[in-house]
Amino acid sequence: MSAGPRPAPRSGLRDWLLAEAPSSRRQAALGSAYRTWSQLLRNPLAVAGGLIVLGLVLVAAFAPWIAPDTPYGQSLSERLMPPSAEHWMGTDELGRDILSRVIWGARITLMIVVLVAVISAPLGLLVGAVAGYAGGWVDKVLMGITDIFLSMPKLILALAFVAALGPGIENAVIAIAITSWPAYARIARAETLTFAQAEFIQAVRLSGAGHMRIVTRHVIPLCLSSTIIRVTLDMAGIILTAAGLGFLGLGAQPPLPEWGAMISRGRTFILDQWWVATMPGFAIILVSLGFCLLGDGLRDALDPKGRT
Amino acid sequence: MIELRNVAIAYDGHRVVEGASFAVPEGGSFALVGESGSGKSTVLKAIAGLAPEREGTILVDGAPVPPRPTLESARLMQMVFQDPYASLHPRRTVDAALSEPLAIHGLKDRDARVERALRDVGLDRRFRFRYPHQLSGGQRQRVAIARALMLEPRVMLLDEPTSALDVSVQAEILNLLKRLRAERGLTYLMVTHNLPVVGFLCERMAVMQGGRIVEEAPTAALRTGDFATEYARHLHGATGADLMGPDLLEPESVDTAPMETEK
Repeated sequence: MSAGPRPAPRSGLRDWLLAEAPSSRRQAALGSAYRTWSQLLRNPLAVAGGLIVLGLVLVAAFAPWIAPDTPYGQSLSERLMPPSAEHWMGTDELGRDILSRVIWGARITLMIVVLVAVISAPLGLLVGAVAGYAGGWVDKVLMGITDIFLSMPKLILALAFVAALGPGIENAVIAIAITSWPAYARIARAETLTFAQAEFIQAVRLSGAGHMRIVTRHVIPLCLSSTIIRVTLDMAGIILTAAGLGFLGLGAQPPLPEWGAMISRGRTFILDQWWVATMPGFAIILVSLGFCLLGDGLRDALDPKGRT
Repeated sequence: MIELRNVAIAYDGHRVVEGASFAVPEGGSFALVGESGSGKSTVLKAIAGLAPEREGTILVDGAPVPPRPTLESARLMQMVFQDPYASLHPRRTVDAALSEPLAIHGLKDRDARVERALRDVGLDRRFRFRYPHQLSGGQRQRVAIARALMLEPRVMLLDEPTSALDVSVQAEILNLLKRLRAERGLTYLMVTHNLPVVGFLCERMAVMQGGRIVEEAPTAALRTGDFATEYARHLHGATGADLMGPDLLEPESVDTAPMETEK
């Protein structure tokens, strides 16, 4: 009986969130978010992806407490030790604990991913929405620039930028951001074109709204979900590009525990001491997979047609 | 209130309307009728400032209409669109849709104005924070009408405001439009192909064919079929206006929204 009353407030909250007639702005917005959320929870793969990403965030946040050792603690007497109870992922050529380095590396990976998303997604969104909404020569110019960036292979373009700016993690972030925004611009433009002439946009124009207000308040919100999905799916690619730059020695510089750079160092011993290159590789695969699964789940959950 | 003199409108250099002239007095109600593709909606868009390629003179309240909507023109005239499913932003609540014109014009007292607007179009307060997908077609069209009235315009441009709705809901919306006009002294310019609606809501009408106005007549002609041109007589016969008659829509029938929750 004691369990009886307990679900009542919870279903009360649920009813409040799913109310047909919300009584405030906040309730309506929260209800809409709740519907998306429950849609996401219904997809086990998306939940798995979300847990992996959440794990990455937690590991990055609590790295100093989780990691058994510092990422830089060298011990030349223990160099290239295979995985054991003491060093779960073994040690590298300077006797550093690989597990600790992978855990600290989560911070760098997360920073790269977040910075790239924060720079490239709004840029691409704005360029695409303006091009699709304005049409005419504005569209032609903006999409011409986008196509130029899009026609070059991502990693090569990033390489060229890093070569010009100098190696380092900040420059790697800038380079990746510069190469990844055109995809978002394309999506946002395509999305905008479908409703640029729609009556609800004309109605706002008739209210006397300026172009800037229409683009930022009415056009961009409608492109947002497809961009969020695409960014999430691209996270894996961003991580791989960052790792690729690190691998080529153009991203994070030693002794930073960046996963790609770690693989690069481990390459030398890959035949005899496989764990040096493999362990950070596992981390990259796992996190990429997490973002991919989460992105797929978001695609289903954010699609307004999937909801009633 | 609205005056068109020899107006021509083009899309991408292709002329769709030519030599359109008519006038609507203040407080009047005028209908543009014709088949689809006759250019009647284009005329409406041009008056609203949404069709940039135009020639000739369009005067609203004695002043020429700007090439694109401005803050002043927004306060003078507003439009109700044909498809209530396309005219409301899918991700914004009713409240956001109605508050937007107030925000653009920096008007205070938004809560009270939104609540009053909902009441005026016969929508219960609980519809205020719903999304368009939670409303029925008739309810959406009421929201669209409320949005058009937020800035208290004197001219309402109605682009087939009932053609996308069920017959029973059509009558409600028409009664609502009739009541609002009577209460506020609005000037209506309506585009439609539905002649009974014209007889119910308008005093005068112009018949359009192939981008030209072929005849202008009082709507009383709908009862008698007394048109000068062959085309207008043909249109009158084809839509069965003489059979149904404008009396079909009773002004005293209810115009409040159905209260059941529809999906």
